[in-house]
Amino acid sequence: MIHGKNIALSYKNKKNSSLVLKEVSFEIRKGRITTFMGPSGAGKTSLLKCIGNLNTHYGGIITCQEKDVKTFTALERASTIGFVLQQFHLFPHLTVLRNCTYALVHVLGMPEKEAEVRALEILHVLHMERFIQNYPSQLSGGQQQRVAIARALVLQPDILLMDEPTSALDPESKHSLEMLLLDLNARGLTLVLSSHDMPFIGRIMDYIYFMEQGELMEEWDCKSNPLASFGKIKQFLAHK
Amino acid sequence: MFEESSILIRSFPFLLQGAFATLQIALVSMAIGVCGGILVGILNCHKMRTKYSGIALNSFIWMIRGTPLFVQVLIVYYALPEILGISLSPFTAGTIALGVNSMAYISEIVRGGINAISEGQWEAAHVIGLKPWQTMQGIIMPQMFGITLPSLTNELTALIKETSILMVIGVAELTKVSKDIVVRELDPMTIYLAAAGLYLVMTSSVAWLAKYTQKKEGKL
Repeated sequence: MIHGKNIALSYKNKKNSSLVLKEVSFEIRKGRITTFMGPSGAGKTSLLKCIGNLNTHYGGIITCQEKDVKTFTALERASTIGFVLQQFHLFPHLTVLRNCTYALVHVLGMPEKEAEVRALEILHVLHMERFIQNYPSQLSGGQQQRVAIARALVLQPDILLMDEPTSALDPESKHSLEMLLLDLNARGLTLVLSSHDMPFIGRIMDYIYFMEQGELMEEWDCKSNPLASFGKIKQFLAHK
Repeated sequence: MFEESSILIRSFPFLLQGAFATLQIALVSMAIGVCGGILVGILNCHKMRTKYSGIALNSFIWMIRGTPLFVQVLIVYYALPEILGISLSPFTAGTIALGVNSMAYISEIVRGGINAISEGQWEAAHVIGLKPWQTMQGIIMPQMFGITLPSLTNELTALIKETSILMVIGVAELTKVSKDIVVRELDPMTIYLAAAGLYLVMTSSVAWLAKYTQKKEGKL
């Protein structure tokens, strides 16, 4: 579904440049929950931003459904790859409902009423229908995340990227997020996560890539070989 | 006391005329300042600026902010017509000078407001498929206005007061009218206090309007 080949990324300033991704290659299969895990600074967020086309100045190629993601139009990108950012970044001046309908109206050109119907369906699935007239500042972290997921899902993407989805959540919200992600995955949504939250990853993982200092060190197909965790991944699991 | 009251009653229609002229100049200058300032601010923010547009816009802002408004008014009224071979009425010249001066200050307020909005808002807009201009219009600008409203209010209040400088080129605004009345009536205290009162009414209206807008937006 998504293939990345030799992805290299460096951040440059006037004095020096730092390499954050070193020739990373990966494959994300349809219907799986793929997790990029590793310590902070491993390059997980940078890699997700490359997949989501937020970073375009990388070397190598990332294809989604056989097409270079850099060549996607804004509409193609939004309706293929959804992205929930680490801090959610809801639009603070718009209500929950308008946060979800904004792209439908302004990107897909859908009439406002039709957009509201679609957004309400998704918000209902995420148990957020009671909060549609609230502003983001009136919601808890977990509720904000659900709205951010809804905002991505209304565009009916095939893949949902989530950057550190548990970093701002309490244990109860983490548990309900787990249930939600497993439910979305069961409905056919391909999920790609970046996280260093091992208990969380352990409960929802299908396929893991372990990253360290910008490199992919190991990968583990946990569904096919549930007992075969080894090396760096095992060490990381043990630390947590 | 009776004498002062009768001077005030006699002069008040003229003062109101002056206040009306002041209001006209302020509104047109505000329109130039706000529209131009927003445009320059957007073009000069970190997301839109190119190397050359940055140099050009910053030079403009540097020149306007680095020279007195008084001198700018004199340049627009006396020097510009000579250079361009046109003639400008005092009202037009004064309004242009004030508008352009205000544009430079407002553009910096707008630029600062846009730059203050987190990168995450741009990213969130990008991932849902919004184009840069759609992001600017629907996501960034509404937030920018919320952030910059107090500074914009200050700027617009200052603009109303600065119209008094235009008396130097003979525009019949409130200060000029007051001065003319004082020459005739020889009662500076009454007339200038009345003029100050009218300025207060105008500046307070802008401040009240800004507060009302802010309250409506739930920012207070």
